[in-house]
Amino acid sequence: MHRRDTSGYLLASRTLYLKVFAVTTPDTTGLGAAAAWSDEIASLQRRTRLARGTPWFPLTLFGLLVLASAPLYADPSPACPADHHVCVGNIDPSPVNNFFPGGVFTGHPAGVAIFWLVAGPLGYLATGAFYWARARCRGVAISPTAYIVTGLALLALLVVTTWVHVFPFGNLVIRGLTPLITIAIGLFVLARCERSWPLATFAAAFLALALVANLYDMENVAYRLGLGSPGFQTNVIVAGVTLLLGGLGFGLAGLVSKRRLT
Amino acid sequence: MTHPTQHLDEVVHQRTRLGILAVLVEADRAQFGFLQDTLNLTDGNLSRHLQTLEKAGHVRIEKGYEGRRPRTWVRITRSGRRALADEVALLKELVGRLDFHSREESTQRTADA
Repeated sequence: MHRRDTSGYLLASRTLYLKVFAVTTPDTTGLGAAAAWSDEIASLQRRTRLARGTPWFPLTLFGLLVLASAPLYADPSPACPADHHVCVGNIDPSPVNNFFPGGVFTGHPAGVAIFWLVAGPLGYLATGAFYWARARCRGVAISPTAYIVTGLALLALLVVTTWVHVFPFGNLVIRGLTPLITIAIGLFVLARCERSWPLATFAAAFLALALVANLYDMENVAYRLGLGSPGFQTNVIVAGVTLLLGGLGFGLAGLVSKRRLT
Repeated sequence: MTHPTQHLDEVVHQRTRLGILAVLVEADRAQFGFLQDTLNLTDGNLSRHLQTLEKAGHVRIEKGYEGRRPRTWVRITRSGRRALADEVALLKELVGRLDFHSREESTQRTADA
C-alpha cells in the first residue's frame, strides 16, 4: 500500500503509519520522516517568500521622492549675513501652509506642502501598481492595501490636524519633515503585509532617523566633524539616502537568495 | 494525557495538502499555476487536493480573468492558518518525543555497556 502520487509525495496512510511508527518505535528512520516534513515545510515557505520578492520598490521610490524634495528645504535666508549664528526662516503666510505642515525653517514651505500632497499619494499608488504587476507576473501576491491606506490616511491626518490647528506634536512640524514619519509608520504596516522582520527592523531604524530629522539639525554634526555647513537639506538627504540604501539592500538580498536557490 | 497523534487533522495531515497550506500561509494569495510549479503537481492532482481543503474551509478559491486568460487564485482562510499552525506544532511535539526516546535509549545503552 505504499503508493506515490505524481509529485512523489507519500500518501496519507503511509505518512501516518510512519509517524505512529516514529512515536512508538524510537528509531532514527521515524525521526527522519517527521523531521523531513518540518524541513520541507520550511523549504516551501522559503521558496514562496523568494518568489514573492522583496520590498525594494517602495523603499527606492520613497528614497528618490525624499531626495527630489531636497531643493525645497534649502536654507530659507540666502541673504543671512555670514556672522549670524542663527537665521530665522520664512514663515509662509500662504493659505496652502494652513493645510499641511510644510515647515517654518524651510526654504519653500508652500512648495514642501504641495510636493508631499502630490508625491505622497502618487508614491503609494505607484507602489500598489507595482505590487499588482509583480503578483500578476509571478503568480504569488502580497496585498499592499493596508500599507497604501495607512500612508494615505496619515497624510490626510497631517492635513486635518494642520487645518484645524490641533497638531499635537509642537516642534515636529517646524522642519517640514513630518512626511518622513508617515513613511516610517507605513513601512511598519508594509512589514506586517510582507511578514518581514528585516523590514520591521529597518522601519524601526528609519522611524528613529525620521524623529531625529524632525527634531534636530543634522548639519550641526557635519559642522562638528569639519565638513562645513551643508545646510538644512542634510536632514532630507540623509533620510533619502537611507531609504535608497534600504531599497538597494533588500534588492541585493533578494538576488543573492535567488542565486543560492538556483 | 492524550497522545499528540490523537489530535491530527486528517485533512491537513497529508503531505501535498500540508505543502499547499505552507505555500499559501506565506502570501495573501497564489495562482493555481504557481502552486502547481512549486509543488510539482499535475492539474488533476492539485485540483483534487484544493477541493478537499476548500470543503474543509481551509482555502478559498477565486476564479477570474486577466484579459481573456482565465486565472484561478487560491488564498488560505483563518481556519487554514490555524490548522497549519496546529499541525506544525504537533510535528514539533512528535519530533521532541522522539528526541527524548533516542536520548533515553542511548543513556540505557551507555549504562549497559
